[in-house]
Amino acid sequence: MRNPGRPERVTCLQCRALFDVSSGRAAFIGTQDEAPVQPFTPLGSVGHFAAGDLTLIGFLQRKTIDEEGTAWFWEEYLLSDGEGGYRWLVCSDRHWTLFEPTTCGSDIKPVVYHRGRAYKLFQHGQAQVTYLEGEFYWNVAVGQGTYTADFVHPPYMLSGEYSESSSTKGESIWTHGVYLPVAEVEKAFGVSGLPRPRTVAPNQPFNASQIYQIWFLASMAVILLAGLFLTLTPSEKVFDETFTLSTPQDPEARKKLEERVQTDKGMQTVERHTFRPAKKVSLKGLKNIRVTARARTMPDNSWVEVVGYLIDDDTLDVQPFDLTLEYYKGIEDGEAWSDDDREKNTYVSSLPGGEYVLRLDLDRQPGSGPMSVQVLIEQGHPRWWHALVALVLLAIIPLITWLVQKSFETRRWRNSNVNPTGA
Amino acid sequence: MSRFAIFYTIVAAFIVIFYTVSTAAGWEYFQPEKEKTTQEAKRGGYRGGAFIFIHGGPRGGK
Repeated sequence: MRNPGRPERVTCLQCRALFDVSSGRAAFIGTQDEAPVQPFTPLGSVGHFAAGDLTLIGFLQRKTIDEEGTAWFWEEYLLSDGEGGYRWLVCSDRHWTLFEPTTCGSDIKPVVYHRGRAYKLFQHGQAQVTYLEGEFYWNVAVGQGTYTADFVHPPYMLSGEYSESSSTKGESIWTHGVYLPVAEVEKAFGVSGLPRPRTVAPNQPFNASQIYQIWFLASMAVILLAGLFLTLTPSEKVFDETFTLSTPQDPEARKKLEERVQTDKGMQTVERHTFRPAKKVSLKGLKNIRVTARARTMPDNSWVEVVGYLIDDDTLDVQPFDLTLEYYKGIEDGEAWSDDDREKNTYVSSLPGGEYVLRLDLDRQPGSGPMSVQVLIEQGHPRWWHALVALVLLAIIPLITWLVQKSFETRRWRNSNVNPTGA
Repeated sequence: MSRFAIFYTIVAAFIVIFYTVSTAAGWEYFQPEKEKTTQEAKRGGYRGGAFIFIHGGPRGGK
């Protein structure tokens, strides 16, 4: 015997006969059929767990029968710490949970609170011992039945065994378990090749849930940084000039302004007014550039396209920008409408610090009335939109994870006889 | 921490760092492509037809 002085029941390793040894002498109780299942490691094996070394002293198989009459089997491995303490390593549907005795004493109800955690009732029913071998510290026998109830708070499980099917009567024994991945069981006992589960266990944790904490922290970091950028970065005006556009009376001069350009609507003749301000634009590096075009005066139902170029005379790099201003209004079916885009802005990336030549082409429909367009260039305008892009990108993986978790939980509760729909 | 959580931590760190660096450096994510002009255009004072881009301009060529 591996646990001398303590067992009440032992089995013969050769013939599987069961003996009562509670009195100190082996009294024959009965025989068993051929072993329906073998332990994954021989009795006497030592498992190295975080709580210490535990020796496998007993193995039993139990079953329960569901409402449809299907029998569900699982295996329980009794482990001894050699000092009178016991643990249960339970394998159900290829999932492993290590249980230890605890005190609880609750009836079967939807939620049980234990050590500050809420455990949801997952399943309950009559369980029966179908096979056993090894040494046991209680008077176990094949066919012995108890009423069991499992409550889950992944990765933990609280399991109660009631002496009567009514949980409010009789005695109850409680164990508290924690889910063990198969690899940890293999590592503890130095074995390999244990079958991998294909289902979701009642107390199997959803491993990717750490994602949410990381997502929250990263999102908070972006929001904080965005707040700092938006409030602490000073913006600076580097160019502000208003340009007046008028169509010359002289047909020759008017002709000179005409250009054929490619537009969204195909090739079109426009009236192009080109401006090259004498003063260069002085730009600082590492600051983005915001260009605002504002029509100070603009005839009704007209448009102007402001095409600008910031030219670095040394490198000959050209940074273009493009803004279209328009103002349309009318009456349709007795209702007045207007389309007012007389002010627009656009952003371009920071350019190396230095002096830049600004060239502006202001294209409009030939013969439009007098117009004046203000062009304002500023630097240092952090954009909330970039923070939004970062937040959306950060949320993609957690969102997918959440959908996967929903499916995971549905699969978990599909096996419950308390909430079989998984809803 | 699971391998997936480590992967996401790396992705999240990259996004936060990219956001911080790009905002601090004044980068725009989408904007008209930079072009190159020529010495001839510069000598001509970037006037009229002398303003030639090596690549097409923002409206498909000038």
